[in-house]
Amino acid sequence: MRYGSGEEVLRDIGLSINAGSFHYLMGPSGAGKTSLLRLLSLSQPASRGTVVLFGRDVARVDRDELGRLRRRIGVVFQDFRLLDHLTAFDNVALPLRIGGADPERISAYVSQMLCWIGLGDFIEARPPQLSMGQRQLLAVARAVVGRPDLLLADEPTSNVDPARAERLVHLFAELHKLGTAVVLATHSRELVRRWPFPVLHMERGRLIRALPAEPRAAVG
Amino acid sequence: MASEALDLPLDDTPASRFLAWFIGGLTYLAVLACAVAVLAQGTVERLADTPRIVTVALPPVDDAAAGEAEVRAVRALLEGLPGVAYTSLVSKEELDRLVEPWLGRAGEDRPGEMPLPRLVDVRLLPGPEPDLAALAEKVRTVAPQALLEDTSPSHGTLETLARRLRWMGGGAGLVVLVLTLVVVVVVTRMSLDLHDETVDLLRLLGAPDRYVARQFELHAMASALKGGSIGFTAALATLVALLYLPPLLGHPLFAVEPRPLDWILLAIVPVLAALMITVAARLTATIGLARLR
Repeated sequence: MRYGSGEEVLRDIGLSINAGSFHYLMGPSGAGKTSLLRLLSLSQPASRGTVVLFGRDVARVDRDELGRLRRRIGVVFQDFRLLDHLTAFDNVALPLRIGGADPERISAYVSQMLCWIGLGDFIEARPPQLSMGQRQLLAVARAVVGRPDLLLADEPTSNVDPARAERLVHLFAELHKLGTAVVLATHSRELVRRWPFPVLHMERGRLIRALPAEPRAAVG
Repeated sequence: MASEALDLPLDDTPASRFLAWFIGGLTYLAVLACAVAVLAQGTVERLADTPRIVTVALPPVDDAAAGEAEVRAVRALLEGLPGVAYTSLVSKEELDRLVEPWLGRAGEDRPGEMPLPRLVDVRLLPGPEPDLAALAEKVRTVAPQALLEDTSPSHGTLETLARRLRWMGGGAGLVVLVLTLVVVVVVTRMSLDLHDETVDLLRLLGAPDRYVARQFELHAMASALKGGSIGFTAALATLVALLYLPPLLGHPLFAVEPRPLDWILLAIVPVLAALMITVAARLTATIGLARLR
């Protein structure tokens, strides 16, 4: 994969993510973790090779089908990508509205999600009124509210306190138990130690190795 | 909890924010232009309903009896034609009064009897424009020297002016509507470019093009309804002031007033504009989105 006419940022990637699996994506900064997540979230096409998602070769699907595939993916962006003019409620409701959910379901799901994630008092707040950590929680809530089949999270715990980080990974693990495949990019070895799942290791745009899950340490 | 805000912050750019005011101003002009057309149409219809008089001039003759016979023949011919209400012979006194400004008073400034033509006024029924050349041809079959003249000159000029104003008003209204659509297309394209990151996010969340285009459509519709209401209300106030205030002061500006149907036609202008603006915004956004990968 390359951006525009620049150098290839990902090469020789051979990766299969099974439904309901959980993987950490680790590696130094600039290794290509975010680029791989962009490829998997269908925000960037592969310049060569094939990406097959939910059994469909994404290069061969039409625009409507691409939209349908994207609706099955939840993404937590590193820079959150929240809409500043919308309230916390409307930001989280966005994937459900796009999916055509009825307003009652949206209201129930979104309120529940915001309360669960600890933003119940900030339903009407807009992102600029929230702290960095709260914005990150909001971005996570938006990604998981539609219970996606694939969840891609780019450093979702980097701005929150350890207790909240713990809670978030617990949420991801719960989704994983319900059948969502999770790919979580992180630098935190502590996280990997506490929640042992297989690790995909990247360096210089290449997938170096997939490590088996570390023995689980004490989980709170 | 859910707000009425659009997913795209389309009111954040100056062009989008002032779209309603642009539309309001242009609706104001469009309604006034259409009002000119409506008033001009009323004038055309009113003039068409006004009886028209043409005059047949027969040259003077020495033989009074032959002259009278000629007049009788001409009148009989004319009164038998369709579209002619009646004819009347202009009296000698009336004729003297007509020529007085040029020839002086009869018997005082004009010694002796000067031969004057005999004039027959022909009153035509209201209706379509008469073919005066054909009428003159027919008259000349019984009076070869006869001349036919349309004696209501202002009638023709007014009618021509009203017809031109009707087309100009309608044309100006159309131009303003087209201009409004051009503004909407430009603003929509600008907004699409300015909000490309948000559009990209919506698409990443799985929004199909029709969902994103609907955002532009809703914004344009809201602007059109708001601007259209303001523009129409202002135009209505202007029209009422121009139509009904001067008569109260004794100086009416217009000879005709819009009929109830005309008011309805004028009210359709902002509705039609809103519909066209909404469709234009949606089409522009859809085409713009189709160009994106």
